[in-house]
Amino acid sequence: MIGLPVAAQAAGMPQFDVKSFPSQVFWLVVCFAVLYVLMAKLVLPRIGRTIESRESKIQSDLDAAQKANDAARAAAAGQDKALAEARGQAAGLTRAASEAAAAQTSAKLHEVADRLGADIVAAERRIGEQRSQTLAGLGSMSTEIASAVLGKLVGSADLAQVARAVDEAAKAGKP
Amino acid sequence: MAGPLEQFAIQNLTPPLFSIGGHSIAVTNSAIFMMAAVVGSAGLLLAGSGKGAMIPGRIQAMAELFYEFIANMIRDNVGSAGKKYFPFIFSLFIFTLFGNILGMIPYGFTFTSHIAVTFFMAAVVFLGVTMIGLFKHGLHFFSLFFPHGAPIFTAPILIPIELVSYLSRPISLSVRLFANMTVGHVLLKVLAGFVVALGVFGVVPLAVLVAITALELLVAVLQAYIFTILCCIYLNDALHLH
Repeated sequence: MIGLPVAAQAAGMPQFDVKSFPSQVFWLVVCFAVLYVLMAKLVLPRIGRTIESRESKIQSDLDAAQKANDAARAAAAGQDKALAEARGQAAGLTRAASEAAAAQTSAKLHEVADRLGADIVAAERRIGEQRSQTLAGLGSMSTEIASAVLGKLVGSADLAQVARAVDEAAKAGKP
Repeated sequence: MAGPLEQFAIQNLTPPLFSIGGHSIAVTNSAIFMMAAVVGSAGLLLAGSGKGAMIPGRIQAMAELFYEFIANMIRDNVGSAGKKYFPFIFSLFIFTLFGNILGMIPYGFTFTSHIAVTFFMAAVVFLGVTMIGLFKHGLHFFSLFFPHGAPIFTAPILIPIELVSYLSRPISLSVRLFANMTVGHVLLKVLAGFVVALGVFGVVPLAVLVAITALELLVAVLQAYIFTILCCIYLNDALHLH
């Protein structure tokens, strides 16, 4: 017995009391063995299983969420496509309808315009005929009126002479 | 007033129960605290691992924290080859931690403040690790004592140094834990003596005592951690031969 243990024993350190060693080691081995068996057989496998199942649950939940997200994205894309198609279709229909309506309108317009044109031409011709008739009638009427006026004023009148004078007056009076 | 070393005395609480190899074994205060450490830690961990709930409660969260802590320590320091030794290293940590912390209870006993306990644990770890290395690598294990890539003529100096440093591992491992726990408790006891001796002015050492108690709690946790992580590092050396 030399060195530190002796000095320590002299100072009364119970740690270097060799007589207590066997008992300490015995209880250490017994207690540690019990703890080891409890940990290795019960506690650690249980905690390991719990942590593992939690991780797999989290992973599967994440996978499911990812899948749902993908599905939602695909559905949204499909809807967008359908909407675009429908919009294109609607635009086409609108254009066709408006074109058809425009064509119909212009056809009717032409027809009406043609009919009106014909009516106008016919009316003009009628007006022209009546005017020339009237004008023709006007000459003889003027001659009769003039000869009647002359007959009252002068007593008699040469009808041919009056007609010639009326014609000249009508020609001179025309603007 | 009791001397500062009296708290470390091993007392037989029962008459000798039986004897092994001529040494009579009785239930001692040290044994009671070892049992308390086992019952306390196993109770806590069994309660914390029983339900296995998806969302852990407080005790389960604590048990899982211990589990993850040691699992990460082994993964970081030993790698996947260390998985086999997880239950042993976990038990070692829990046992040391509870021994250190239970020793902080007033009138308690710190079984980790005894060199017999710490040296036995360190020796078992040292011998176990050496055997694992020998089984795994055979004679190649002895390349551990000669750093890879060093010039061959340095061997006569390097090999003895490495050998001594390797053989001193169980001593440094056990003395570190034993000395830390012993010194802390001696310091607390001496300071407590001053509190009584100084009368009214005893509040000064009392304040220091409170601070040192907090420090000792830190040391209790830290030394359990250091003891465990060094075992991991030794195991890693044996498995992977640096």
